[in-house]
Amino acid sequence: MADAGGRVIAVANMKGGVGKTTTVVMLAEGFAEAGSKVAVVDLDAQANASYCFAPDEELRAILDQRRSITSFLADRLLYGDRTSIADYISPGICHVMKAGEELAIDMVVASPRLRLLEREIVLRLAESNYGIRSLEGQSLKVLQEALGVLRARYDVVLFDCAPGISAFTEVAIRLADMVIVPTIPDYLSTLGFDAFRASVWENAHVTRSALPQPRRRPLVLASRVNAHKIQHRETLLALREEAAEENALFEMYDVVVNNLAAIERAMDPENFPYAPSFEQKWYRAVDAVRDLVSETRRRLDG
Amino acid sequence: MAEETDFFRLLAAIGSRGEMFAAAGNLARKAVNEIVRAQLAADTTGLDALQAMRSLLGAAGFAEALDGVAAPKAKQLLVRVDPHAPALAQPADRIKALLALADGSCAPAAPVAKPARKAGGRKAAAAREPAATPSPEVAPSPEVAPPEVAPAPRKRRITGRTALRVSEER
Repeated sequence: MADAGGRVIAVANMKGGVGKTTTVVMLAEGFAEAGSKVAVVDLDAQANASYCFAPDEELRAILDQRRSITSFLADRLLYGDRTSIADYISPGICHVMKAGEELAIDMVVASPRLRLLEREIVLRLAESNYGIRSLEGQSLKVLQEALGVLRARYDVVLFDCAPGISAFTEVAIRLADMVIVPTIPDYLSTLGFDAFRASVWENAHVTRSALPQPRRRPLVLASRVNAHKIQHRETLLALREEAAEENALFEMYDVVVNNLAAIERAMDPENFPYAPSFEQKWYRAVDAVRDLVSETRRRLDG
Repeated sequence: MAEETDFFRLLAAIGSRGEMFAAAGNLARKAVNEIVRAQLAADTTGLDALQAMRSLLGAAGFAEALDGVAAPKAKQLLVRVDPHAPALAQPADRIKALLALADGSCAPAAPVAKPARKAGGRKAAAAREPAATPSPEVAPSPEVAPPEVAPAPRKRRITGRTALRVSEER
């Protein structure tokens, strides 16, 4: 049964470079443009989503104040601090406008230190004779509590997960109402998707885990699609056929995100010396963003 | 002209039977936005036309179309409908100003009365002055090489972002 309040979407894939952050930014701005209050939680140590919303100086000021997911998790898991996730949120991080007003997007930014944090926690737990499952269990508890706060405040909460599978990404996937897996329709990306799905949804490589199963099947979003490539067209067809089978192991978006120059342009904030409107920023990709949002909303409700 | 009128009539007919065109998805939205934006960018669009369009489309539809007008075109539109207003630097402020003018919550600025010109203005004084001979310091010297044109600045540095180097230690 769904939790009360806002809906939680994790955007994840073990494979890098498939468009996870692009999907998160499209969804965040698209939902906000449609009137939803949105929170983005960056779980990727590369901080790509954070950089898409905040310029370097602004992000540095946020990190200097220790308002990041890294500091939140470190404070909770290393130092036993009880400060709420609310104190780590950066309000109004998005500088894209609609009718002269900024879109309502708040964010818990990430930082490169997130990469080291998991190792620090594992070492600390090992010193106390605890194992990796303890990290999973504690991360689950902390993120579950944080999500309770975020669900109460926002209509949509988006996790931008790191490539690979960190303990925090594992937990986010299992707490989300929907897991979107952006996948380029080519051989290696679909291979990556199958490995990811087997690893998380089948627990193929795990003998014991403290984590619950994900709430629903992964939802594949074909991304960076080049319709001129036979390989893309054929792989897309194969994905659709498999998703349409009875007891299919994954769902598939009807919309695809094409490999558009307008999307690459929109993802680079330095292309916009002034705060652009949503329409100006996404330009020829604006319909792609709206289509993605309306199908996501329909699938969340359905 | 007759053809254009026909197509607008067809658009109205399609609009009255939207359910017949469900497969069009966002195309109607796109078409409306493009039509309105073309008119907003036209030199003939003044304040009355702006307000009429706002009234026809409603607040949300009008704002969406206006948001998609390219920033220089929106600037030109604002100058056209409110020529005496002080210039606004931020595109978002210009959009806000246009929205306020369109819904009538703000009136165009009145022209600023210019101070009467003095009999002996700068031009008159200059005319009275003998033609100034260029000073040797300012005059271009054939021996001095022209300053080198600086190369266009790079869009950005790839390395050295400061946020990536914050430690966040307690």
